[in-house]
Amino acid sequence: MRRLAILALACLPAAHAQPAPSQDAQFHAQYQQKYQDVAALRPDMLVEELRLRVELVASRGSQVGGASNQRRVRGFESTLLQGLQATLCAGGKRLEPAPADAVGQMVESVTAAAQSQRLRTVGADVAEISAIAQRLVESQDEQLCGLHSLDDVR
Amino acid sequence: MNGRIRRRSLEWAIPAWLVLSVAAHAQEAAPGVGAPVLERLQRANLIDDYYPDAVREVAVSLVQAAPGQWRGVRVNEPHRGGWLNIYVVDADRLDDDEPLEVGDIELTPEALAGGALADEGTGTVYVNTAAWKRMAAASMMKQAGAVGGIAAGLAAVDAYGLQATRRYWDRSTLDADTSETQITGMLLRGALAFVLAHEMGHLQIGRSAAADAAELRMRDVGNLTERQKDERLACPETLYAEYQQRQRHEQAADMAAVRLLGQQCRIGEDGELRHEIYVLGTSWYFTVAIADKLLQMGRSSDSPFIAQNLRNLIGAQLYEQAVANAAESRRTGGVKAAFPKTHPPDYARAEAIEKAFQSTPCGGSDLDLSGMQVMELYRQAMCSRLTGRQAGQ
Repeated sequence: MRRLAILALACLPAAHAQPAPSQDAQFHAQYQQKYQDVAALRPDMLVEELRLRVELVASRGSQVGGASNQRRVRGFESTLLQGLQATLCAGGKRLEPAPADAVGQMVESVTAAAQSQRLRTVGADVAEISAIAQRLVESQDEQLCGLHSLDDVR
Repeated sequence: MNGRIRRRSLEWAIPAWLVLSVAAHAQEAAPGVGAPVLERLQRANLIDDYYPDAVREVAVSLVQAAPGQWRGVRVNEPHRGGWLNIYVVDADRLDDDEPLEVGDIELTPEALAGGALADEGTGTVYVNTAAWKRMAAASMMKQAGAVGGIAAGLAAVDAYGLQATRRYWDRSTLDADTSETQITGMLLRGALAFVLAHEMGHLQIGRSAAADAAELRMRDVGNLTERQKDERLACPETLYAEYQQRQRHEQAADMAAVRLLGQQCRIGEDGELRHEIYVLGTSWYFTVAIADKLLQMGRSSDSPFIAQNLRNLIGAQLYEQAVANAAESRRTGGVKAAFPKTHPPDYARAEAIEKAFQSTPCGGSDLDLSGMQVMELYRQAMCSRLTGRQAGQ
């Protein structure tokens, strides 16, 4: 599955609005680096990592004190899970996407979840969050379709 | 720190709540990068007429400590380049699901929760009156003897709501000339000075202040227990490097703030008094912030130890109303609430600020920071255990 995901990166430009070649290469590198970094994590740690990475986006700004961004992080992960289940599940069963579509679909789901919370993402955010989410999906198999929230991931 | 502040506050019962209405100079709006900001804020009904005069007066004193940096201060006026533009807004009126994009940033309740937010791109500071009303009410309750301490004051505001506690933050109360309002006024004015100075520090240092960061690779912190997941949040070296960079950036803004605050004794005839009030208020800001985090820890932790200590601190009834009834559905641990990832811990910030004050022309205070040093030693030991154990696996 990991190889398939990396191979699928070749088809990634479809998910973006015509990125310049250098930007595209950078996106690929960021995705691959994060995909490798989180390879050894347990599924529940992947959820932790996903939340930390999304909060990094939600908490940007020059404010005098730190505040919880849990509301937006939770909103993001809820929308992401719904999007992934809509794409990857049918009748409670897991669909296997065509290898060339896997990462592109993930990027679309991540982008939609970010937009639902009005999160201001840059390319590196989308690449890294997509890589973590892809690992998470790969760790779940059939269980993905029965999840009510990412709290249920074990 | 609380007891010390109280003692110092009582010594200062002489000066009043220094809200001196400074006539706003009518300024002609100049077309510029943020010209529509005021209109957008007005359309969203965010502008709040809660002590804009005090905001202006404090900001003017801080601007005087940075000659040549700003041409002046504009509060709730059309944006003008080269000036310090401040908008006093009520974040409670923001739509949770629809952040308001203004200039280069977006306004959300979370971003404004600390009391203020800066937009370096347009040279603008947003002051959140909802946070200030909460702090004012809790501070006034404490001074009036309605609650035993500031944590109980914050819990009372959270339990009953801002409208129900209005008499503690309304101008009609705070503008009255009593010893309680005088002390509350000094605390709030000083806290406001720190918050404005911090945001002005952000405007001075800009967004590009780079900082080195060491990020442990994820394989080193790969498989943690539930407790370790929580503890990890107090250890920036185990998080994304950007979190460390932000913490150092916030630290730099704090130091820039001290440079503005630490010259006040030399500005104007009342400089010495103003400096004392600003130092006192800076400590008060962190006292309130730490008390607030204690409440948040109670809401996010199921530790009986934390629960019992909070009951002792704020009373059983307020504990039930403001903590137990407001607890998170999934209590993952108190460390997350105590250690924000984007800022250094409050005690560490207060300690660094206090040290930095000593090197300013006006000097610092004589606060006892030994308790804070113990907290930092505890955090370091916890992080060493966490990363050491993981590295050995």
